[in-house]
Amino acid sequence: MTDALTRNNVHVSGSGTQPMLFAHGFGCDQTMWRFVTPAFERDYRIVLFDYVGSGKSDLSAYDAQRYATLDGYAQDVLEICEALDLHDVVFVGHSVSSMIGVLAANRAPERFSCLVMVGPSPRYINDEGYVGGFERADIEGLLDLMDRNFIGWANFLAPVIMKNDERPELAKELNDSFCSTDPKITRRFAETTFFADNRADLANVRVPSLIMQCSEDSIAPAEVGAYLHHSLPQSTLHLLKATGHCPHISHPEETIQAIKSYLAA
Amino acid sequence: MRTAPCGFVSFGDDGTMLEVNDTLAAMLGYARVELLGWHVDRILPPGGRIFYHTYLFPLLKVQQSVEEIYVALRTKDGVDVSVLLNGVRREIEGRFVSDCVCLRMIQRHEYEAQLLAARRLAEESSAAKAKFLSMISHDLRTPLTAISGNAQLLAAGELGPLTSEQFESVREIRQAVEEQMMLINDILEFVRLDSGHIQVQPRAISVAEVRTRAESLVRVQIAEAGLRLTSHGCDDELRVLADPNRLQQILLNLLTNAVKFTPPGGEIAVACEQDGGRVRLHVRDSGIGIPSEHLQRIFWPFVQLDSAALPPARSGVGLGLAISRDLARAMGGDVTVSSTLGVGSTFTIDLPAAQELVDSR
Repeated sequence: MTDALTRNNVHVSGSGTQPMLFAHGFGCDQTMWRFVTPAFERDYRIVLFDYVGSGKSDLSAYDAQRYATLDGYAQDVLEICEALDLHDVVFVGHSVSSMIGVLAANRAPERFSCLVMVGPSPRYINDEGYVGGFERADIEGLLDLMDRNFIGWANFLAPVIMKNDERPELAKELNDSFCSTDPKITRRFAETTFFADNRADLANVRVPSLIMQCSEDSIAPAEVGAYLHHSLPQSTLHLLKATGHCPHISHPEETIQAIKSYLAA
Repeated sequence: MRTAPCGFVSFGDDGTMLEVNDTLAAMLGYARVELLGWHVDRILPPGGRIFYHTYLFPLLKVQQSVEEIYVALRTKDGVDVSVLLNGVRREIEGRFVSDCVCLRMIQRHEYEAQLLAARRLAEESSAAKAKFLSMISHDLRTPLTAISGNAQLLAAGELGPLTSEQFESVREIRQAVEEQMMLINDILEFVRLDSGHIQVQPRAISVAEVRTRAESLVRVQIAEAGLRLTSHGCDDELRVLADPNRLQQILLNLLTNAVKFTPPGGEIAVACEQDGGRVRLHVRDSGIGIPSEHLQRIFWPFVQLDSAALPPARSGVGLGLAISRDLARAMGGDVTVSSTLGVGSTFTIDLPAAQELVDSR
């Protein structure tokens, strides 16, 4: 087995002891968390990683069969926990990572203290008696968009180096590339993510959870937040003022405060 | 700006449209005022909203600019319009806005649709080919196992004593089965390589050990063909980062090829050398050589040069070199060739040197 820490490009920082494991969502990599993690560096041990196929993960470790379902990604999370001997973990997952956290916590509840879910959804596609927000054709539209961008993806998902004379502090980080992902893997990750249905896993969760629901989130609408709150035992629903689906990027301060308040309670 | 020949939209970090030009509004069938103050989701199809929230906005926020992004916009009538988008995020009086221009794609959209359709077809066809080859190889192997097993029983005298003619006949059957089995295994191996299902486990290994093992497996063949085998520079301390079984497989394949294409009385030489962080194994023969125009083609799968000129026992399905090169590449190396017609060919396996070897020099 490839070393999980190398495979998933794991970075550990912070001066605290309790681990906070930040799991990025679909479409990006661990750099998504850079507006949020500094606020927790002092009190926690921060663990960041890239899913295989994202960021600087080991692309050769990609196994289409393993990652055909979210279980493969959950297995990666558990292998990272094992490699670093993490216990009492605060798992912070954005979007699809919330459900990956659910699967990991169901398999090894003893490792997790709580799950913090940012914009979670257990199923994106509408079903009888369930509002996910999308029809199957909508997701196929997304996949088509991705295919078309992969035709000329040179400036898109490839590592990008940007010159910004006005904000030189960005240069180094951008030299390290942002959102660099393998297009084929990302497309498969999109299928795995948006066709997934993890509703049946919710009732089995034995660790407390915080559901951070954004206002006017067109990817995870309010009905989804309510469904999760109803289905997840020991859950707390927090409605953010932040709009959109990426509050940790658009409204990092509010995101930080919501997490801190929950952890302090 | 309002009537420029491209769409323009400016939105804040919260997605609210702060400016829209008449061109974009008209493209989407709205009056300009029907869009101002609304979230960009209003002009995106559902899949496009996911795309905006998971890619486009994060990229703009962190990267400050995006170029040549294919985006589908939705008109007021619910029709999707393809555009190519460039965007820049900037700060105005403490507030961030992203300015984007959108160019309508019509012909390019069609052209790309054709490209995509062709790619999907190629992928499906490749998957179907792999499945077919795998299935057919399996089906071919099953009866061969039965033939081989029964021939073995006959040869061992388990089914009664054989005359010397019968024994010779059974020996030929067994030999033919073995050759057939090797061909089928080659096909299966190639299918697995082609679909990325072969795993290599490189580690620091001695080149001399691998060379000795491979040579011992072809020694009889070389003697029978009336050839001479020499070796240079493959010292015990020369270590390479490779999967030992796979390296042996490659070397064996190159040696077997050399035997096939070298006339009696010729020579096959194995030479090893280190060049910085790389180790190279050369297999040189004094054979018939390869025309320069075919040097690359010989690595293509199912290519056999001049196979009609070879006796049946010497021909194959033309997968050996394709497999060898794929295996070498999977280990961070390569297989290359140089050749002179009538003089001979040199095949080179290039692989990373084991780190301790690099450090010590």
